[in-house]
Amino acid sequence: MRVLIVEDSGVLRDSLSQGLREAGYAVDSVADGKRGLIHAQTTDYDVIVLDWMLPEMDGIEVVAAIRAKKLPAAVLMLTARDSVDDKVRGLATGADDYLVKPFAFKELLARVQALARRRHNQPSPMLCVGPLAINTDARTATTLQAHGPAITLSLTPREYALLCYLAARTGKPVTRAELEEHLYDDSSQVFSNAIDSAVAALRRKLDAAGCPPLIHTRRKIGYVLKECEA
Amino acid sequence: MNSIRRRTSVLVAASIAGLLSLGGLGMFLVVRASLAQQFDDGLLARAAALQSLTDAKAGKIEMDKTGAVMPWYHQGGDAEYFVAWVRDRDHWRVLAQSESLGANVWSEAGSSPRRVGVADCALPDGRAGRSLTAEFTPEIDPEADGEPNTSVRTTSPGDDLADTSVNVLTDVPVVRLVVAQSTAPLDRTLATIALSIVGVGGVLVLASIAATQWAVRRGTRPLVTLSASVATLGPDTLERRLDLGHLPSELAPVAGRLNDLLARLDDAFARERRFTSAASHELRTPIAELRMLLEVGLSRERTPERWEQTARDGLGVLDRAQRLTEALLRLSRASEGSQAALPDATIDLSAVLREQAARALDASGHDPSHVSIDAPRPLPARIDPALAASIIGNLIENALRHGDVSTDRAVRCVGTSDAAGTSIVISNHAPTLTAADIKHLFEPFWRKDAGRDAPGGFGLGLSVSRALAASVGASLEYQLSADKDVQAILRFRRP
Repeated sequence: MRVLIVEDSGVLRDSLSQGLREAGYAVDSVADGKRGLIHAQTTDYDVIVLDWMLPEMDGIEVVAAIRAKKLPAAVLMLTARDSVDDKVRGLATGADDYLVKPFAFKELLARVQALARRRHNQPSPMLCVGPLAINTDARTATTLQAHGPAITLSLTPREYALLCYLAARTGKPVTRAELEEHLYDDSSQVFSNAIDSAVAALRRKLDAAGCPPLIHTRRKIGYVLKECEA
Repeated sequence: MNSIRRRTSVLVAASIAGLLSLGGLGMFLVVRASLAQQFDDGLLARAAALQSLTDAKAGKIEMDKTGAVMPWYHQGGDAEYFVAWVRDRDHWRVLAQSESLGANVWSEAGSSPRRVGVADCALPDGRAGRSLTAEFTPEIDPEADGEPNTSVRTTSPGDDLADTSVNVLTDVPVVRLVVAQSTAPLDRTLATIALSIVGVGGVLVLASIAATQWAVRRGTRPLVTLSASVATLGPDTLERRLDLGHLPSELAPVAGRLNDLLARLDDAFARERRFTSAASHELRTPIAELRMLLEVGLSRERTPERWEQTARDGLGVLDRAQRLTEALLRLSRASEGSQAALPDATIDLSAVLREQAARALDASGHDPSHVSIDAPRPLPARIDPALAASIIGNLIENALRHGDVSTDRAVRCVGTSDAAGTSIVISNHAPTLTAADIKHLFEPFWRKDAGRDAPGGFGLGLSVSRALAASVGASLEYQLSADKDVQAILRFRRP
């Protein structure tokens, strides 16, 4: 999942970026509203974390422009404005959620996860594909065995993000470019075979956990996650 | 509660009732006087009739008083009275009296001397009445002859009154006539008229009260409407204005002033909301920053170097929060409205100007050619030197920080002194500043398109500077010229 943070406080911007990256998100961050809108228009973000009071263009103007351009990203507004009128105004303009500063990082993470699920029409935090069960709240992936205990996969944040993204689109082919856009941020150095390497590593871990092949290659397209290849 | 409508209704109704009462009383008095005059005229006519029936012939004074001529003198409930005397030398003798008196003698009518004229009296039957006393000389019948002074015949009570005569010895007989009539019919008529006036007046008073209430209610309807509109105004509806279109000319100025007041209140509330919102934002952001630093730092194991960086970042946040708190305290103290103590001696502001320009240039890293100073010595002002340095230093820092500054477009500091006082003008080129921005320059936390990490501070400096200037009786204002040169004008009155 790829997240854009638009926040003019450098400390807050860096902390949020670090926390979300460590939670497995690909994160871009900018310091003003105008650049935030440019990023939102040029990249398919899953969630945009948007401060209200921004230089150049305030958060309300940015979210109004995002909705006017019918961009699908979910928007979480951050602000110190805590009055009901302010919240109503933010949500009425097009924000999907609203978080008042100061806030707990866990709460922000939970809201970002919920918005990402909603963005991909996935109401439940549990994703199940065959014997594979992914808990997006606990950020765990488990393979259920017919006989014996369930095995929890040990995945890197990138592998977990890849698995989640494919699982959210179970049965639908996902292109390499799309995977790159949602798994890597602007600061990442993405090699041409980065996606293939990550998929290969993920397949190995699934196989080692006794999971039947779930990730299938679509030649010249990308990959699809589903229970059995027809 | 004191009600204009009720008070006006009561006052108008009381006024109408009073006027109607006075009018009724006046009318009654006029009618009574008129009827009394008619009554007296009636008595006079009676007296004239009796006079016409009296003549002197052959030494006798006679009065022909047949019942047909004078039926109203017969005895009865509404009987009238008369008595006629004739003076015979020094004695008055009864010539004739009305049948209504019967055999009685009306002693009161004969009391002598009696003033000629009309007066109230008590009638022989005890009723109240009015009497006319007249004296006249009977006409002498030229066809009669004889000795007028030789015989006297007088009537006595109970005599036949068809014809009475008195022989008198005087050459010029004088007859005194008293005619009296009951005033009961007149009193009854007056009582009827008085009752009618009171009745009609009462109805008119009641009708006038109702009409007054209706008129007052209708007349004060715009006032009630205005009052209801004003009652709905509150802190949440300050953007609303009173509709002047339907108001009468007396209320339109009041509503206009209220609208002006609402506009000022709306502006003040908006400023207050912006300040509260900005202060809330500025105060909550450092807390959010520290919380994120620590929560993200603690979310997994970190290297000592990483923790050191987190601590440095945290100290930076705290440093900014401390500066913000101190700036807010300075603004709060400076805005309390108290006057700063003025020193006894004046200081030279040109020296302060030069010192602060050098300090600001040094702190900002600008080239010395980026500030030009034109300040002849001395520029006298009564102000604490530290206070003057704070104000002037802040203005120069702002010009260097936000202005389009270069060697060709230097910040200009010009000082002048004249009879009115001392002025310092600090100007710089500000291509992005608009006329609308000028009114926000002194608003706390106002920064034109600047984020928290921009080098513009908190947006409190100008608010503090203006409050400090006001505390020593000086003024600070900004002006923007057409070619986008913004001027900070600091004026001190002549010490």
